[in-house]
Amino acid sequence: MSMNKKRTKKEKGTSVHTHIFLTIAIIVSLFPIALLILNSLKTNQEVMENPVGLPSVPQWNNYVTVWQQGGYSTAFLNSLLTVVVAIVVVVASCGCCAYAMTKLKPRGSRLVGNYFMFTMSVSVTLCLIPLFFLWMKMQLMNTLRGLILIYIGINIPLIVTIMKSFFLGIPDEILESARIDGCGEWKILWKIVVPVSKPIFLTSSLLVGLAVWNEFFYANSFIQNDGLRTVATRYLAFTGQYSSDWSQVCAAGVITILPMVILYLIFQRQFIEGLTAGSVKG
Amino acid sequence: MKKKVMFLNFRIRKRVLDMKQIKKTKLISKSERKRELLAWTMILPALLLNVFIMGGPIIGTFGISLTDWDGIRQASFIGLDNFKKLLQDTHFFWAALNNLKWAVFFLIVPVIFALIIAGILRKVKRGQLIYRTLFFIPYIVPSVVVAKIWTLIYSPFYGITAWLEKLGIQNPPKFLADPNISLFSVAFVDSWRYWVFLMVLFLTAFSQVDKSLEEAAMIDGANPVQTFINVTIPQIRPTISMVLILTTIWSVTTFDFVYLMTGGGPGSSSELVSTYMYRLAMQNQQPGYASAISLVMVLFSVVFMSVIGLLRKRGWEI
Repeated sequence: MSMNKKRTKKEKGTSVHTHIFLTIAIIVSLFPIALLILNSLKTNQEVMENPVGLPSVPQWNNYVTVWQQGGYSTAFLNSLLTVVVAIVVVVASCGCCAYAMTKLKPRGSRLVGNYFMFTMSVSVTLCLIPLFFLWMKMQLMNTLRGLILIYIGINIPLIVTIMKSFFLGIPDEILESARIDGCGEWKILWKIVVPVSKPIFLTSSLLVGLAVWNEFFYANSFIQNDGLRTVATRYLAFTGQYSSDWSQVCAAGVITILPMVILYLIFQRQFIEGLTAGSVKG
Repeated sequence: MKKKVMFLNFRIRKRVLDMKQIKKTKLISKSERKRELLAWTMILPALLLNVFIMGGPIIGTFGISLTDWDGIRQASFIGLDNFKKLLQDTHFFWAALNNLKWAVFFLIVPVIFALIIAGILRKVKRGQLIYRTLFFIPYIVPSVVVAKIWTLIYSPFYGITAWLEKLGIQNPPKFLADPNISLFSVAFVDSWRYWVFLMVLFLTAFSQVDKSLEEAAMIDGANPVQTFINVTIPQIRPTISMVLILTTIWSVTTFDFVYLMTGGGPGSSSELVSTYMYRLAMQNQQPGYASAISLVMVLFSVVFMSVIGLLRKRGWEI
């Protein structure tokens, strides 16, 4: 009895230490983001004099200035359009593809699987040069269409792979009995597979959305027109122009990260599971 | 000859079967073919989109690497000359050496951080999810913003350097401006974002660890640290080796943070193979040579993975 008591006491003791340690670790590791938010609410003068402290008077106006000067309304519309189209096309095409590859298994589908494994593991920088010149020739350079097309293409291997591993868990018996009842494959896909696979469609959409929202390599190389920039590259252009004004650079940073941080806080489980399941670097 | 015999055989067998059966088999094979056709129509949209954006261009990269193309004029075929040029390009080897340093840094610093925090966090029953959620935030912040925040933190005028100066430290490190440490300063920023990803991977692996072994070790008198290193970590070895392999491959192609924070400078102290390739392709108008470099990057990953696969087949546990 007394030993039991001792033990629980000891466990409690270590766990308080653990909580303190972990809290400190979190504060240290999130410090740069806190810095971004704090400095976004200061005047530029204040950032230079006191970069770490709290803002004396929160300058909410910074956001309004940055939003207007940075042309963020257009940038948000561009990003939103890009994200939505990419998600719809990727999820729809990958859903069909993964279903056929796991449940219909036509001859040659294993080869397709291997092909996707390969394209998933190569770096997207490898495709840059041919795409650059192809896009010039096809006059897709400096268009959102062209950029969206690239985002769709580069996100497909990962989404097919994670959808495949989910569909493998759907028992064949359900599909078989539907087939006996005279259901066509499209109907099975739409009426049976999609409803039970909602979680993976959500995760896939979030992954594509995050990847597209944060992407800058292709957006930076393929879009030069300010009015067509997405939020991430708009941020690059803006900070290039106003690099000396740190309060505005920080405010623009907050505007850039806010949509994804909010989405993340709502769907943190899906984000974490999706990102680690695919084992991709964002 | 053989074909003919088989055909005859088939005909005889066919005659043996009664008519109904024949109709049925024909029907099945027809519906089978129809199903296969349907399956391919489902596969093709995704496949073609990816081939158009990735598969085709990868072959294109290979083709361009065999030419002296400058992006404007007619290209001429020069065989493997670009690859020969590569072997004599000291700048390329300098960049590759930086990639190696980057890989070493990434195989040590974030991995150890992630192991320690995951090891502590796994003992926490209440609130583990909240900690995990908060720790993971940096991973979803876009690299453009991360790079800017850290440029401010590293700034010699308002950042750590100025702060250390105020504390009276002589010649504090000038992170991004000092050629000796610029590469590692950038690597630290990338790993600040990367380690949380590894931490979550390790945390998942730890949740499947056999607890009775640890308890046995504790009863035998091992302290928690000894138990963790000698009993717990060996049990997640598959995850650790996967992490090490992934980290090595990513270190070869890493691009974002060096491009955003130093552009390879000062001088070429933080130049990586990818930033060198990007500059050759976009500014120096040498897409042919740049393609050869990006192919070498992929070749490294392919060879590396093949070696790992081979060793695994030989019975190495990696």
